[in-house]
Amino acid sequence: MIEFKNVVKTYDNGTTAVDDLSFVAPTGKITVLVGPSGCGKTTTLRMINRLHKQSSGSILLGGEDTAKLDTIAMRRTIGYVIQNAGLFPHQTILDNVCAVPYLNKNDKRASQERALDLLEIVGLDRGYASRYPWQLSGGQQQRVGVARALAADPPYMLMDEPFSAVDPIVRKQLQSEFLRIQADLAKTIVMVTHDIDEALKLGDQIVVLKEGGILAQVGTPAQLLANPADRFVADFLGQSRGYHALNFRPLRDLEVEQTPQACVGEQLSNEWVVACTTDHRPLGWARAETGIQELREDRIRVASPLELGASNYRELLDAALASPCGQAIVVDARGTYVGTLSVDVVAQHVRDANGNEYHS
Amino acid sequence: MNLEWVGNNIELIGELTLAHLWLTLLPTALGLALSIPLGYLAFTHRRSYPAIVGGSSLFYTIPSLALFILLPKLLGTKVLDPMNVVVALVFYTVALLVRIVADSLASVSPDAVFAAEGMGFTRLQTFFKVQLPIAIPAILSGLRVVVVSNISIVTMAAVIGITQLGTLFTMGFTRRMFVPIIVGLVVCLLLALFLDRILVLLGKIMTPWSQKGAL
Repeated sequence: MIEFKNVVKTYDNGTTAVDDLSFVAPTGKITVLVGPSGCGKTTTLRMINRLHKQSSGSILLGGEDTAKLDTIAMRRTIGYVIQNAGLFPHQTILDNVCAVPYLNKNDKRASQERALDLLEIVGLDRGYASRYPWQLSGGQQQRVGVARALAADPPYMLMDEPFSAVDPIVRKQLQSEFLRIQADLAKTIVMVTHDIDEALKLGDQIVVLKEGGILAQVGTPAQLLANPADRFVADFLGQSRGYHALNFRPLRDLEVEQTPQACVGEQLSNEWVVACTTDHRPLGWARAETGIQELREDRIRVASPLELGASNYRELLDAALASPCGQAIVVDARGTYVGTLSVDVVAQHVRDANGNEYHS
Repeated sequence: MNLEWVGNNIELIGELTLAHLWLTLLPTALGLALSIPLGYLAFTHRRSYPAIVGGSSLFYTIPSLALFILLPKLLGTKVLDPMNVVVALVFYTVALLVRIVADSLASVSPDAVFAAEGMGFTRLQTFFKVQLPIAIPAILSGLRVVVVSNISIVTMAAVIGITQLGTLFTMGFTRRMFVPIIVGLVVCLLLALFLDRILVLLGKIMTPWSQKGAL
């Protein structure tokens, strides 16, 4: 657990970067600091490992005041990932990952073995171990940065805009893989981002800061989306706030419509049907353009089905919007066709749930 | 041109070359050892940069002959003591290298340094394990200039009677002979080329990580 107690950071020229900030980053969870530039989020992060020192207030790491701990020893218990990875250009990827274990004079062979495992965990081939950073792409370097932060198996991790220097596709990949790794490792993580979508995707808890380092709101993504504390938070969450909120609402207790299915070779009318394989796996939508036609593979409008027990309302809305008839195709856990759900289901849910002051 | 002179004096030329090599390398090494902490100071304390870098650069404007003659008085050494030449060249080396070291350290990616600090490197570890190794290619390319410049400055010491390749110039001048002067020039040039190649090779060995092969 990382705890901020009335932390203030003022600079010599009188500007206040962080103003009376208190919050708790719970153990094993991802806490995301988010806000516009100049809100002191990076300063806040760097005060945890004392790269910046607070002017007043205290920061507790596992209950201990960081000001009273040995700074160097404390930093080695906190994995640190920065924006451009900050790899050492003169060392191989393997030595980069082993940086902190080497500092701690851990057994060299064991450290390197673990480093190789870590490379695989972050999705890099072991073959990269002997290369130098300049031989890797930005996304690969960032993976190495994450592996390096994990090398000494620290209980805490600080991540300063870790995914913002890579292109959007790579960023999405890195985010998903990071969540997969965190599900296994359950580190106590504090992350900084200016990207609200990233915060909503990765955060178990989000700390929204305003200009001048003033706390605007702390809460889970669902709480923030459903009940923003003020106009600032609502504006910061953006125009797609309502759409995002659907992410946190699983599909429950719904009755599917029994839209007919058809296999390749069967006759089509001008009604939309779900094209399926012979073992009832949906491929997409089909209907006859004129009169009566035979279902051929090239007449199928491909669609990705939803799995009923593992999807939320945003995915339902997305699937319904993408289909030619406003219907999402639904399958069971084994991928067998169950039925369809109309976009009307989403509208009905929004009327019911938002009307009931939805909290989750 | 009388090439016979070369054959007759090959031993002398060899001795002078060795002396010249020694009088070049020792002060270069000492100057480098002094420039690294001074350059680090100028780099870490930006306010001291103009004083340290500017001040040391001033040394370079002192004529070498004047320095060779003044140093025995200042150091209390004998006029013929080669130590005078060594000390003078240390000054010239520092004059050129302090700026190079400070600027080379400043060119190291701040991300790498910041990451090192955040991960728990001490100041000393950050310097020796991160900043200095990354600055090596830039420092070495500066050192190449220094070595060549020192080879040429050492020849001046012949005027105050310290024997090295410059002695061939004074000898040729007093005896009205061309050959020793030409030989002195050629050997100086070869020495400069040789030491330069050695530094390039050293750079390649020390920086296997460099994209361009260091230099």
